Amino acid sequence: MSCGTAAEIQNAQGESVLMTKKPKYDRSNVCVKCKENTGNIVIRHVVYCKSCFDPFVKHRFKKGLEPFINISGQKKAVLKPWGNLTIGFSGGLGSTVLLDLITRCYYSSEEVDEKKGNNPRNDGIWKKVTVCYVEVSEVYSKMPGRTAEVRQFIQDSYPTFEFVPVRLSNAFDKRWWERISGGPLTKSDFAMRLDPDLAFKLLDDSSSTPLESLQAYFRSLPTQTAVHSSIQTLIRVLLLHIARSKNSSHLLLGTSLTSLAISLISGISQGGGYNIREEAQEDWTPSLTSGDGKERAVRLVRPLRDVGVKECGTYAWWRGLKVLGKAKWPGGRQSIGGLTKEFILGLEKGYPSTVSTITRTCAKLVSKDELVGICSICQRPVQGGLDTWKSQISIRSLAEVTPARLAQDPPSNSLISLLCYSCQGTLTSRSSKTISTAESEVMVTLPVWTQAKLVDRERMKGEIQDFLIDGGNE
Amino acid sequence: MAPKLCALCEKSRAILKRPKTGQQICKECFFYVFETEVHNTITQAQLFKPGDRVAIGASGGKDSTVLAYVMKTLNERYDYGIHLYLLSIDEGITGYRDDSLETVKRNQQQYSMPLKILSYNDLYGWTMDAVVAQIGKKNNCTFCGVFRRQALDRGAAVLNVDHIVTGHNADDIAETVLMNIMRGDIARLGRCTSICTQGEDTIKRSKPFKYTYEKEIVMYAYFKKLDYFSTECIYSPDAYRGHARAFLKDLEAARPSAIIDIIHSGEAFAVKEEVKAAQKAQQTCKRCGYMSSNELCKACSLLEGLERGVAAVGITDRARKKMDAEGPAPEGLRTIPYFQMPAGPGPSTTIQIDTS
Ligand SMILES: [Zn+2]
Ligand SMILES: [Zn+2]
Ligand SMILES: [Zn+2]
Ligand SMILES: [Zn+2]
Repeated sequence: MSCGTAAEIQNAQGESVLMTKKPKYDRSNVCVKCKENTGNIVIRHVVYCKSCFDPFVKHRFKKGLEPFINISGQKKAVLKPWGNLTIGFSGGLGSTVLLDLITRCYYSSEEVDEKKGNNPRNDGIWKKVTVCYVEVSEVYSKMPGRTAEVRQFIQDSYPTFEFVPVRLSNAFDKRWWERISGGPLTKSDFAMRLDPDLAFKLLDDSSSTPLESLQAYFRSLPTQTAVHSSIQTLIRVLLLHIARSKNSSHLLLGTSLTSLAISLISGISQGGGYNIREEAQEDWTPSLTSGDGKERAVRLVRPLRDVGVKECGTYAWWRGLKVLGKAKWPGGRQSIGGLTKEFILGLEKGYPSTVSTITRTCAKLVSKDELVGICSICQRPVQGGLDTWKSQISIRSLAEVTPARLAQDPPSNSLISLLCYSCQGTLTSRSSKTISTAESEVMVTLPVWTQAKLVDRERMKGEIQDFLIDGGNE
Repeated sequence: MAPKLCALCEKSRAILKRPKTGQQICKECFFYVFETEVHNTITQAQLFKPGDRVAIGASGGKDSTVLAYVMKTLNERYDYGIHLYLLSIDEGITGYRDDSLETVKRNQQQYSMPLKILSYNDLYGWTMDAVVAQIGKKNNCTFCGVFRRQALDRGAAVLNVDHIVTGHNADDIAETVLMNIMRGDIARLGRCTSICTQGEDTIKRSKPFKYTYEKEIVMYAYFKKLDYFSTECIYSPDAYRGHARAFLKDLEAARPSAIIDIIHSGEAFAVKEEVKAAQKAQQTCKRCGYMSSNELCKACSLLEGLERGVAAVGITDRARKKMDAEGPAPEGLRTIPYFQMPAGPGPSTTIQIDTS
């Protein structure tokens, strides 16, 4: 993500560092808050001075976080999370600003000066803070890894926080899965074929390393869109598992208002309308039945969801924050995520309120249909009736047209029924350029949490085996 | 290289790649799946019952031309038992609509369906050419859209039909979902993916091509050698919608399922109850009797603005207030005739049908 440097940004001495453009504010250039100082930044047509801007950002940040710290039902006067805190850090602008705000608001003496007496918040709201960085370079052969650089940065700037590096290939690493005490796995691997049914089976021989599995998985994805979405999904689920293993009640991400608007539109364009709420905030518990049932949900919050990328850039500049920059993934122009980003950033120039309109509109929506489970890959709710819907709107085989076929479930070794609509699309929807009928015969290893889910189902099936007729096809 | 066989029948040679599924299929199978998917949409939503009088909103363009052809085919094949009419609106755009209406008149002959043409000039006293001459090309799509919506309902009342079907395709609906999110139009967002809309005071409307790709409509017209008028409206659409359309085309190029995926998204979410409750209740326009969320409907507001020379009225609240401040509507202001719902199904009354 770029810093979103805008013409209004000024340096520490208050001099404009860029050429001034024609005014973008409506009436006067005096700060709307103090009504005294000349403004230094324009946020969606409203003018703020430098000294009023800082409390403005802090206020928005707290508004986006504090109402979600306590479990609902608890009184709000005291902030009392049930567990620790995990912060997902990408090196980008948003997560850099997030770390700074968390430290200033909850782990420094700064807040005490502003309030009377000895504020208990000074001890930190969460007992322990973990900063987690997910290395994505393994997907691309020529991309240098940055874990060492990020580790150095966190250790220098936030010495009291624990740094935990994760690699994308950990998603295929059984030893890592054991270490963070995930669910049960078998000795060999569950793998799937990327055909329309997504047939899965237990491999006879599982000799590939996690890195090989990761690379094979990404090689067989049908589109650039699928590559980018899968990276995002794996990062999010890895972070959730880390948060759980650190006994965290909260996982925070530095998603800005602008990034949230982009991911909402991109998610909708990939069929994720059912999960529109989760895109902004979600409560997650591992979906395995074998847990003791007392597991508490990790809440994923995006406290900067009302702070635009331009405000983040200004904040970082005025605070003198060092921004490492987020790793850039190749091929953005050909993916839905990349196209959406380009579209929204372009639109924001001519129509500055677009991003906040998008997030506000989406916040007014709820999911319509019944929930039938949790997606085995992305861990988000799955909507019922997907199969019927799909076969009605596009006929893919002449046999499908008969009512009997419509009512039939996919075969029991198909992953389809365990996945949400978006993940189905990620794995099966092709670009117009790929040759459609040459289905891949390659079996690709599934992420460890998906495998654990399948092991769990096999175990359940074993328990009820004696009562099933015909091998128990659902 | 041996010719590739159709992925569906596995007998004939594949001659096209379906934009919607990526499958390579033969011509006959394409016709079959195209028509059957529309039939599925119609039966799934139970759009018609025998005896229904259904008007096809016909513009002479590809969508409505193919719709008329497919509706006639399905009505005969599956014995829907419905009576089909063509209903055309003449916006009064020289060099665009007058030519496309010729196409509609040919369709009337080919499909032997009764045709009714209603013009903006007859209904509102203004052609789009005259509107553009007064207000310029900015916002002219707002006028045209508001006027067309009412005009179709009024035409349907004249024809005494129960139901209007329009040629809106999957691309149009996906684009509307995106537009409504970006504009924050929560009321429209809630209903834009429904296949069928009907309020108490409006005629039932539906979109049998809801899941049909625009590209496949063109393919169908091409292979069936259907005669349609393909010129774009000479008054270009507003810039914002233009951005959304270009974006959608990019998404489709990146992954063709994007169009259906956006519709799927739009169907999966609903507007929160508390948000819905806060929305304005529908009423009828005090001047023309058409449904409205304000005292005056959009068309009457726009028309009053045109008549009084304050063009932005009906587009911005500010302009409306400004005009109201200038006093009430003058005596003798031209207004739209009072709207009444059709009498409903029953023995068809004799109505005037253009047969020219
Ligand atoms: Zn100020
Ligand atoms: Zn999923
Ligand atoms: Zn065929
Ligand atoms: Zn009216």
